[in-house]
Amino acid sequence: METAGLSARLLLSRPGETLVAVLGVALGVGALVGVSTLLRGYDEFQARLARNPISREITVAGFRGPRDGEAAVVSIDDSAEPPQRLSLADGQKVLSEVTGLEAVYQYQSRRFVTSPLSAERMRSLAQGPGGPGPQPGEGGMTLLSAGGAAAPLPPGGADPLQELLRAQEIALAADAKEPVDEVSVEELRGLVVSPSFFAAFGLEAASGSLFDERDQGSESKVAVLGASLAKTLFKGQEALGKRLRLNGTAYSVMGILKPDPWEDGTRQLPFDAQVFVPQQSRTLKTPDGRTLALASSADSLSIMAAPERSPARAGKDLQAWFDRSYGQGRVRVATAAARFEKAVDQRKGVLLVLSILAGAAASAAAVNLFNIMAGRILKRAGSYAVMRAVGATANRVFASVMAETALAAGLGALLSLLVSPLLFHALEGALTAAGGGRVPIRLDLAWLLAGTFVATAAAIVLVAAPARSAARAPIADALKTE
Amino acid sequence: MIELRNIEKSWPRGSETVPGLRGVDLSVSRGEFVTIMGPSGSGKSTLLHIVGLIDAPTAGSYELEGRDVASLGDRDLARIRCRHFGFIFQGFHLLPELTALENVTLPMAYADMPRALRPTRAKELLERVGLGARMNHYPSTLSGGEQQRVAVARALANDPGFLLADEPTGNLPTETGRAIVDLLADLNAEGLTIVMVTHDAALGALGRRSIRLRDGLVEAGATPMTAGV
Repeated sequence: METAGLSARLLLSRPGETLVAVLGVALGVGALVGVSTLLRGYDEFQARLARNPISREITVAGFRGPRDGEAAVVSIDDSAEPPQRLSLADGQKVLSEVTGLEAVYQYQSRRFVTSPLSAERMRSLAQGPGGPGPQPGEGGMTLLSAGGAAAPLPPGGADPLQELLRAQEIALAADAKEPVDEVSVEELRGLVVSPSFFAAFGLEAASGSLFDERDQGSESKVAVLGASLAKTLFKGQEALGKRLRLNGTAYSVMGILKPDPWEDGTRQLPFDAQVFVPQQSRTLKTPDGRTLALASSADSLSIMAAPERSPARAGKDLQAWFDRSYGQGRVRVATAAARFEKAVDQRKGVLLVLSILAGAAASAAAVNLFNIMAGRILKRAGSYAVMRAVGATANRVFASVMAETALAAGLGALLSLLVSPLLFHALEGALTAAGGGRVPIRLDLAWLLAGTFVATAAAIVLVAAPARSAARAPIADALKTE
Repeated sequence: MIELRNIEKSWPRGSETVPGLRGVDLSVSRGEFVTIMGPSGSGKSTLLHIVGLIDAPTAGSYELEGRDVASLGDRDLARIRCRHFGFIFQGFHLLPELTALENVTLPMAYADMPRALRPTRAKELLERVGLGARMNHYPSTLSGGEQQRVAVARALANDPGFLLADEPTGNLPTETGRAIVDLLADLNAEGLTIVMVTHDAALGALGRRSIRLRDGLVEAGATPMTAGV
């Protein structure tokens, strides 16, 4: 009987005791590794975030709604006369007056369907769940004016919102007749972006070209595809120049991005898998001949801090500039890094407490395993002496004891590999549900395995001293204990 | 051949030394059946343990087949125990977690016998001691006599030159003990060298040669060390 086989037999000779030891290790190591893996996930996320351009993003948040003739605005004071609003054009002024900033841009997440729209869906998209205008996650534009750009709405005239609705339906119906290519998916995630968005995030064209100011006009129905989306969207065919329908509107693919150089899992939805359409202003003719001016909606303006500049510092400078320019607290400035860091720091605080508890549980499991094995070693002193009397070396007996311990610890470790991910996901879900939004962290399998190995090895090492002592005990003396 | 000269064994107890053996000479030739007798505490088992290399003398020389084995390390001693000696103990000392068959194969594993050969040899040995029908039983389900038979089979596992038995019938009823001794006598008749410790004079008489220890010394008047050779 070889060492491992003998050890297994010896281990299973006391199944209840073995079960307690194995489950103790599984729960103790599982808890410790699960919590530490989660902590590491947050640490790793913060490290990734620090390298990613998103950490340098500063958001100037405000009210949703465009200003006449401009696609991107942030409300500063709508009650003022005229209302104070900040646009992309104003953003250029910010860049020139505040140091350490390098780009101003806008983007808004959208969910697109690629199939032809039913009349009902057209109405729904045109109107949105809360009425005409921009809706989160939907397409749509906001009415700027009726009767002509910058012109006041005629008092007592037809309801411009209803006119908008009809006009959008007509536009969508017209687009529905335009031929498009066959695509592989029913639904796409994407971003409505300003032209400066790509440069801000270091995104470059692999083929074709990216948006510029000309694409902000209503006649330019063009789209840019992320690198991985381009490979799959048209079922392996070259995507450049293809046409696709997004929420009823037909777009031509004018460019394909190179893979995002900063893609590292920080973003829940990678740029590589998204479609990009330009922010636009457009005019529509109503059936009665009126002109409606519309613009893509955006509820925030984003400014990218320069790489050499601390985003927190740049955010403070920016806040000070807005406070000086528009009054104290009129504009809210927030850095993406700070937003994530607050959420992560809250969680790490909780996890630190949990890791202490898990460490105690793992220690208790190790001590339990040690106690059980030490007890067995003591009880088996005679058996070990017999093994040596019939030909085993002390090292072989030692190996047998250690193999038995390793088997118990190894079984526990295997079970802990089930416990750890379960705990990881349960805790991550609970922490997300507790508030602060979702932080995209990953289960690091290598770390999990390494943690399990180290914790298990530590438990085994504890047993080494009594095992060595038992294996080297004088045979004749030990036989008397049998 | 076993040659022990002026073997001493003592144990420290506090600041004093407790003597066990005080200059014992012993020679055992191939094919002998030697019994070591004496009252409790006379050093019988200690002498047997030294012969079987499971205890080391405090002083004296020990040659096995002409080789000095007194100063060997654990690895060499284990190899010699494995290949040259078979042990039978008063308390049987079977591993309770293993079946009779597995107990018998244990020394074979330590001797690196090919795995495929072990069960066959173990079965032969168990059949030889009359336990062919109980080889898959655990020690706890065997009687004392059966356990001692398993121990005999285990002792023979690696076809040793010497079988060392320490009070092999001490925990057995008389009849069962007798059967074990008969088995040993049969083995001796087949050429196996046996050294047996016993305090039972009747069993001691079975040996072709007997030595008597008292207070760690070979008692005067005992059978000459190499009688019968």
